[in-house]
Amino acid sequence: MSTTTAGIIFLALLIVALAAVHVPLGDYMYRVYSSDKHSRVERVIYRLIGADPKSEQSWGAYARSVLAFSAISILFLFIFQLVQGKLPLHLNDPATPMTPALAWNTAVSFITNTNWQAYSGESTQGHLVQMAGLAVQNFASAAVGMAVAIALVRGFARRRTGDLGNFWVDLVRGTIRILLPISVVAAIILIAGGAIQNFHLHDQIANTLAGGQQTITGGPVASQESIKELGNNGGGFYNANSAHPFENPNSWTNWFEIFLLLVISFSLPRTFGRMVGSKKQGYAIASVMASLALISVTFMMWFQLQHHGTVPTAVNGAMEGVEQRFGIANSAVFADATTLTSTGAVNSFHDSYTSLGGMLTMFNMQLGEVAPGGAGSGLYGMLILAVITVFVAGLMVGRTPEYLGKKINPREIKLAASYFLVTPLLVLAGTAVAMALPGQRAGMLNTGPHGLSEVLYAFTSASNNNGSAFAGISVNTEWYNTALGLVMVFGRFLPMVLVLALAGSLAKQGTTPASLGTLPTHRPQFVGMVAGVTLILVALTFLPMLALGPLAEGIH
Amino acid sequence: MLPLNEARWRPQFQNGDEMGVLIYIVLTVLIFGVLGLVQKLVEGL
Repeated sequence: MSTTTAGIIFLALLIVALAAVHVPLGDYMYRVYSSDKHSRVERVIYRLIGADPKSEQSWGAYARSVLAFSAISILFLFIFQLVQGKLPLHLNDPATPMTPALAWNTAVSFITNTNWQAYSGESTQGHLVQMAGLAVQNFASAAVGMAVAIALVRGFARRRTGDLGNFWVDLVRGTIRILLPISVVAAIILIAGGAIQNFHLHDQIANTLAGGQQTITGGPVASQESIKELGNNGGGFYNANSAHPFENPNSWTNWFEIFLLLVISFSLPRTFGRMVGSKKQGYAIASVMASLALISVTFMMWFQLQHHGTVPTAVNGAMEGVEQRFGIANSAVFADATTLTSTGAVNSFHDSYTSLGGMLTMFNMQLGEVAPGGAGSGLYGMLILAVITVFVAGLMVGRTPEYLGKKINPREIKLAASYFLVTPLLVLAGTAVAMALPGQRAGMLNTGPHGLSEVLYAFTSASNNNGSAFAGISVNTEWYNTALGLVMVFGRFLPMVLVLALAGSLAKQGTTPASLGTLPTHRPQFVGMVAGVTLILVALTFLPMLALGPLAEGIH
Repeated sequence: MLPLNEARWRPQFQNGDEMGVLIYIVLTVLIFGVLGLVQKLVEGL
């Protein structure tokens, strides 16, 4: 079987599985977030944290809860990493010193669902930090994203109220009822597939292909791997991430990991459709996501399989940086899925991709990670783009735009436009500052357009809370740890504040009855319009920078 | 000779790092203070 055929079958099975699962999972998430009942475990948690699950919050209170929870989480994880040497299950001789700058960058990274790693996982973090710090935030950060998305959906669904639900209830339910049970089952499946799950520190013996034995740090890998993909986190237990055989042992686990990282984000539009009382609206949003994803994966396969250059031609493939077990096509699908979502896990190294393939990984993130995007963040990002699209359509016909029976007034469009501007500002300003400082340019391992791509990728990944690394750049410095930490935190929470403000504004409105002039938002015409607006806006924003980096390299 | 737990501590947390810890704690508080201000500003938008 040719590589191309294998890749197409791999992709087709993925599409079939996602199509089969999105309805039951989307309906289940609808019931989770709409239920009035609290389980015994949940009631205990509410009592412990002092939350009243029956009280509703305004958008401002909801946003303050998100910010307070995240600030405390960052401070806790920051200190936790610094004192890990005094705690059980620490590494005896960490290869990378845990400096305050690295600890802060890592804390911000995991709380913002970015999981950018300026360190080598297995030689820096002990098992206790991996389990009780990083893995906990894998759950919590994903649940925060889902909670904010659900709050926005409630803004569309509710009429004449200031209430958006209760953040603490949404956070706890998302974690306990959705992420935890799926990740437990997924971890068991990964263990069955060969991923390791133990407490070995420095005595995990591995048999090598050459017939020898190698001692590698072991650990609770499968349990972290499952939520790493499911929650669109991406932080690897090992430095090699999903290219490491202990994290991703074979082609079957590779397929399963891609399925995990897409499944919640592709199911949330169904939840959205159920909550706003029109499944067709959910299908329209899912169709935009799927259309953009299919366009992207088609180009990615083409760029990677139709390679050019002396070395790729000589070895019959663009194999540099590609794990032999998975091959080019299955690596290309993984790279596409991880950058279209906010995951950032990698099973091959994007720095080694063809220049246009590498550009596409960046462009996927620059889309705002909406196809299908991160857990929750993909849905709210896409709904913002839908709001901008109805505004553009309203301008064309000269009437006040509406979406789901809500008028898009100046306040709503100001919030949506501000949301859209946050990440481009962070990406482009961050890259420009790094390139302007000679000391920071020294972090690049390549010169010319490829060097610019390394810096642009780092700021794109951090600002969009993806977390994947292009490789080829040294970022464990005080400057990069701080600068990337800043763009991660502002790239996560500024959009969230704007989304919640939009939700609050929409929830206060009544219903605007549909008329002959109302743009139907459940038809293919609207799907095409949203996809078009997204591509045009993102291309206009980022094309100049991409032209100086990967496009220039490709032409050269 | 350092006690065992001190010996473990030192390689990860070196001289001068105490100030670094304080700086990043203050930075975190400042960032979330700014985000809180933004939230207040957006309320008045």
